[in-house]
This record gives sequence, structure tokens and C-alpha cells, in this order.
Amino acid sequence: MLFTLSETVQWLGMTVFELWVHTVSLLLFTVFLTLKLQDVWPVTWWTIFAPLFTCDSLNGYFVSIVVIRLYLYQGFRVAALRLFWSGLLLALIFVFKMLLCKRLEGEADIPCSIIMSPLFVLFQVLMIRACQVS
Amino acid sequence: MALVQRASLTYVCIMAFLILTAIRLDQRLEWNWFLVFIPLWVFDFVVVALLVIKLISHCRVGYDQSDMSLSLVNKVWLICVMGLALTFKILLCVRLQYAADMAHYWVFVPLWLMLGLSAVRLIPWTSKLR
Repeated sequence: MLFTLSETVQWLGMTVFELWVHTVSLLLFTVFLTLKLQDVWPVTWWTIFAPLFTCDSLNGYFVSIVVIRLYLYQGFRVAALRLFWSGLLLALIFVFKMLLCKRLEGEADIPCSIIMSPLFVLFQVLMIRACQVS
Repeated sequence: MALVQRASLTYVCIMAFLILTAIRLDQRLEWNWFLVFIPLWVFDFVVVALLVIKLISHCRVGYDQSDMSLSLVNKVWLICVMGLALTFKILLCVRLQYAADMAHYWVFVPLWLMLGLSAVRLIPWTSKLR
């Protein structure tokens, strides 16, 4: 596409493993979504979103291990920066998915502009990071 | 293009698409879905045009002159991925705007192919790039 893999890793501040987990979970989610939309698998939206939430928890676990290793081998500052960045990214994506799920499930009547607000913040932050990385 | 320019293009296109989608889903606009997807069409056009230009230049000169230094196989692969992504978006727009009775799996097949192939292709890199 527009970016090489190393540029993507640098820009997003994620490892390739995290990107891979996101890709696989998105694939599973779209399969579940299709089954739900076709009325083949009538389950709640929380079940459909389960691969995405699992992806967040797996990435959270992975990041915590990386942060501990960074703290031990490269010091507090590097570890804190990594924790802040990965935590922010994971939190924003998680909030978006949770709001979307609540809206689809009918638990809350939230406008789409509010649901997408974490994504707006995410892209602002990514743009700032792109300026820093370049 | 420098990284910041490419990131800016991505940012502008995706933000414009998200804003238009939010407005459309909140039913404040009754635009055709093909119009809502305009930022993504612009983005796809730029990416495909750049890839095709680089592919032609690579075939004529014999090596990659750009700073991205992708092999010929990688360029063809990226064009195929873009083709799958574009097919998915077109089918999604058709489903949303004109063919409400179209089965969902027809829409998602290109996306599944794209994600599945990307996941397989990423596996060797998971332990290399940090």
C-alpha cells in the first residue's frame, strides 16, 4: 500500500505480532458478523464482537510483557512511553467497540458521531505521532 | 512522498470518510453510499496509481528507484490486495444502496480473502520486525 511494513510498525508503535493478532481477529469477526447478518447464528452482538475483545486482551497481555522487559533492560522512561502509547491505542479502540456493541444491542441510544469519537481522537494522535516519527 | 505526506493523505481521507459515515448513519444526510465513500475512492486511486507507476518503472529500469524499495512480487501482491479491498468496498456500497436482498457473504468474500492472505503473509515477519 502506501507504507512499508517497517514504516507501519514505526508509525503505529505496534509490533508485527500485534498487527497479525488484529488481522486474524478482524477476519474472525467478519465471519461471525456475516453469520449473524444472514440469521445463520442468532447470538448477541457481544458474542459477535468476542474475537475483537479477545484481541484487545491478548494485545494487552503482550504489551504488559514487553513493558516489563523494557523496564528491566532499557529503563523506566522507555517502558513508561511504550505503556502510555499502547495503552492509549488499546483503550481508544476498546471504547469504540464497546459503544458500537451497546448501540447495536439496543442497550443505549448513542448517536454514531459519539460512537466514532474515540476513532477521531485515535487518528489525531496517530497524525501527531507521524510527525514525530518522520 | 515522505512518510508524513503519506500519513497526512491517509489521515485526511479516513477522517473525512468517518465523519461522512457518522453523519449518514445518524440520518442527517440522505447521500448515496457511493458519495459517502468518496474519500476512500480518492485514497484507493492515489495508492493504485502510485503502485502502477512504480511497477511500470520497475519493469522498465529493472530495479526499484523509490525509497520504499519493494520487489516486483511485493508490488504485484499489493495491487492484488488493493483490488480485493476495492471490490469489497464496491460490493458493500451496492449492498447498502441498491441490493438490500444480496447475501452478505458475497460482500465479505473479498475481505476474507484479503485478511486471510495478509495474515498468512505476516506470519514470517512476526518474529523479525519489532
